[in-house]
Amino acid sequence: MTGYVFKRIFQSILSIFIVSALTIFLVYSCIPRQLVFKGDQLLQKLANQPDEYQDYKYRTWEKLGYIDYVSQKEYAQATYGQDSPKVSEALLEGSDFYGKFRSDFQAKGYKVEIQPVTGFLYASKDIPLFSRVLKWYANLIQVDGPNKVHDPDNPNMKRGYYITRDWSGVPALACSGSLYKYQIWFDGKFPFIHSHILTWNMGVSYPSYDGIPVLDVIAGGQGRSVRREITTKVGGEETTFYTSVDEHSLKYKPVLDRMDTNKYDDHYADGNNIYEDPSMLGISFRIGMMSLLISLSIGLTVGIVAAMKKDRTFDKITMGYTVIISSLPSLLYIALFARFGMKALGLPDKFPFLGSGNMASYVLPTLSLALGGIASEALWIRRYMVDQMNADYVKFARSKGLSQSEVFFKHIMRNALIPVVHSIPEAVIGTLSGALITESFYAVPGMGKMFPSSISDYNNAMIIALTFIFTAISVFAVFLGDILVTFVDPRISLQAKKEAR
Amino acid sequence: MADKTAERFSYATFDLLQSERIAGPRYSYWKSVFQTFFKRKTAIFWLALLLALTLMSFIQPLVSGYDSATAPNINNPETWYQKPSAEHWFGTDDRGNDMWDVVWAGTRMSLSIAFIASAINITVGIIVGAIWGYSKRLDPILLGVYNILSNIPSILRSMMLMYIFGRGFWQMVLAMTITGWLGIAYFIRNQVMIIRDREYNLASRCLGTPMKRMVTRNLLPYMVSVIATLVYQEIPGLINTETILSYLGIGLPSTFPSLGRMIDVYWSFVDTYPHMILFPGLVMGLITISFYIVGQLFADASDPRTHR
Repeated sequence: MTGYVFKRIFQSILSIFIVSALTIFLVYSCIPRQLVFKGDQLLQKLANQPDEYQDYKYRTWEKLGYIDYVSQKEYAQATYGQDSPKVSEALLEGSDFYGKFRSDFQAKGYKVEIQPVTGFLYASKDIPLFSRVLKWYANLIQVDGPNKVHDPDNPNMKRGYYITRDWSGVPALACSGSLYKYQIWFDGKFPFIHSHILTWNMGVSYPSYDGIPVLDVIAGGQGRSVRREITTKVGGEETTFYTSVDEHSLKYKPVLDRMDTNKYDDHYADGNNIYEDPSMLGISFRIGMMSLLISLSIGLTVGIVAAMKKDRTFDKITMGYTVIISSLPSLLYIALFARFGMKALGLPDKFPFLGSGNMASYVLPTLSLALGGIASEALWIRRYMVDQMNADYVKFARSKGLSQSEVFFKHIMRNALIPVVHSIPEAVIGTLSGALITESFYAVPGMGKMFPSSISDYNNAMIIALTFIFTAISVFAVFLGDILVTFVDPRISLQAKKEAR
Repeated sequence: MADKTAERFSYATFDLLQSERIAGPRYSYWKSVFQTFFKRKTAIFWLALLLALTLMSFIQPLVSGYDSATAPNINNPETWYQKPSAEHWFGTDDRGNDMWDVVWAGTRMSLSIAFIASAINITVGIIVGAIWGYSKRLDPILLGVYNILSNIPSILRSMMLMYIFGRGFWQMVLAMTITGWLGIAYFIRNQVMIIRDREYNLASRCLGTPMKRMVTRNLLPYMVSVIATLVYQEIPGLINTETILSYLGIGLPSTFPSLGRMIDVYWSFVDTYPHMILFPGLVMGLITISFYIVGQLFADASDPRTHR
């Protein structure tokens, strides 16, 4: 069993890696890089300043990992020092620096070009596709520790771990010299123990949610930030201030301002805000879990009753429902249901009308998702039950004089539920990936809506990260289902048997 | 007298054909399939409806001369937002286009994509699946490919591919087919593996039947009903995918009429002019449901166990 589990984990990781490598490869090679600027407002404003336009474009490409880019000024600053007077000399027309720049970079394989207005030079080089893929993996897991931050303005920073209390007074392991202040802490949110020692990094979102790490976009709160009163010791004195910062997310900030020194003793002053509304992940999970519970409870009951009353009216109605749901385009029945819910029940047909704080916003998206779930659960459980009903052991049990209900609930149902159990982890974890069409239709700010909207925004980093996450989720869900089913049904063994042929 | 007796008799010759004849009712597989299928009134009703709608959507756009890229009545406000009438059976839309024309053009587009893509998926899927199930050398390779690609949810896969290929008719067909055959091939592979080791195939193999003949004569006919099941699930499924992609604005470009685009464009009028949503939805709903039911009934009829 252990050997099998390790083999499966290895296979799962391998297939996640292959899928994401393929995705990165396809995205970077097939999408014209000009397209990433489609939604960029800033670039449109720069349209009549050719130099700034060019510089902005190349800098963005560099940020996104397409190219290496160096401008003449940057190179001069690098050779002579940041504030050296030689820098401005190097930029004067007719300076020797032009020739030096050209020869230095051409030797390194860069393409050297001239800015249209100022005539300054700039050099750029495409980063090969393969190394871009490798870079993505190399940056995927970030390790934090006391030797992480090296700030030239703060050379004598203490380095090391220490125990402290956070703003709510709970003990936590903090660190000086690392990127994040809090390394291990506890709070009331799942999974209760949190850590910054290993963090995932899937790149930075652009052009939508510009500059925010992709994972913060998905897992960070949404809506308005929450301000609250904090009383803590700053410089030995009790201080009270209002803030919306989540102290656990505090990061090293090289340059502190007055506001920061009033609130913090150390350089860890750069934190994320706490927001009113749950994250995209949270909203998708809520809607998904609720609809899963509904579709399991209703779908299984309906399917079991339909199997018991095979070929009678109830069964025919159930089958009619499953035919309609599985044949109609999902958009059509979701739209119909949204109309019905709005007209007859007075519920909002767009999520943002009442927002995530109001339960009424969740009703229609949840039920829309459950419509399909009920149909498929009912269809499958009915099929499994009907299959079992004709099995020899059932005939035997009947002939031995077992009552109808005993045969049904003790024998048929137990066997028919096994494939259902197998699919539960997939369904639970699948809720994280959200429901593309439901969330888009109801404008739910969840994960499902994120993928199509990143596609229309040409947000490559987000697309790659989401494909990675969705693939990982589904790979491990299937795996979990396989493991779970061995506990439910002792007859199933996962080890491959030696076959005769 | 003895000669006369000899004249009345003649020697019988050995007739190979006669000796092979089995005394019993003639059984033709396909004839029985159609007999079983047409015995049901519901089957005839849904098939007629399906044929009527399909023919209508392929013929009407040829006659109507409707072009979704132009709006000839854009400057005649009196032609906009008309309710259904004798002149405009489905009313008119916000730019004065006759909804009757728009609906059939859109249906045609959605159906064309679904037909072409499912034809490719099913053909490739069956061929590859039959070989995959039969060949033991190919199995690990294809299984590896399947295990990797099937991990991505299919709608995500199509969206990803649409993003990479760009928007358009053939791009969409490509996005649906490039990995779409894999699931079908896997399904067929499992079916082939179940049937391949049955006694009659073992006997056939012992007699030295070549693999090609085994697959085409021994295995595939057994699977007509399985294949019919695939077809009736594939076409509504692909129509669904097309609708989702076009609705989300990453499918067909805006100049193409299709059901997804119609719902996207006309949804804002659902309160004021419900006919703009009602008729496209009705036509597409009827088509997908009739496909599903006709397919289901045909799959039932093609199972030899249902024959008398």
